[in-house]
Amino acid sequence: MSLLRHPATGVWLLLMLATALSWWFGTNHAPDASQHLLRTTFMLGLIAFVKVSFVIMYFMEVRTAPWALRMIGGVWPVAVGAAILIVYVTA
Amino acid sequence: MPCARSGRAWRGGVRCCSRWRFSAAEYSEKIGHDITPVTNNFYMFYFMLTGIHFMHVLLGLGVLVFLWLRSRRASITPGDIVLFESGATFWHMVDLLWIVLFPLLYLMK
Repeated sequence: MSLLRHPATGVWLLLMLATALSWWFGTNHAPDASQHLLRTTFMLGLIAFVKVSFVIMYFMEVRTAPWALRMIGGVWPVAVGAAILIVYVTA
Repeated sequence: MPCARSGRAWRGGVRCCSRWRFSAAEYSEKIGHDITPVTNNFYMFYFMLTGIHFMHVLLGLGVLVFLWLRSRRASITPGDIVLFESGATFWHMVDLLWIVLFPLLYLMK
């Protein structure tokens, strides 16, 4: 039962909800509207990197690691996510 | 704590085995349609990234089995705890990579 009370279980549920949200974004778009497609794809990428942050902090337990590792774990998904999304939007 | 970790790791393991079967079916379907890494740049990235990820999954599954056998010993040392934590962290890193690869290869257009 201790597994159910662990914060990681709540985060796991959040990740499942994020996956459902990605599904919704991926299936509810107008097929011909390129601007809408761009927004949808951007949101899918954004959700993925938010999920990555949660996995790093809670599942890889970086949240309770020394500050240098916490910094790297916090900055990495933001930097990589921003780089990919900026390249995608501007390409 | 190791109990919570192993629960999460095994839940991930079940997810991963389904992904493995899914990928094997996908590869054979693509190759059956003459789609290979040299078809175009997208498929070069597709096969390389999913293939390298697959190697990490195999390694991670091996690590999980090793840790499972280790956890069945009568006594667990502090060194074992470091081993469990490192193995579980590696497994979650593999999971994290798939969270990035999946939208990049399957969802983003």
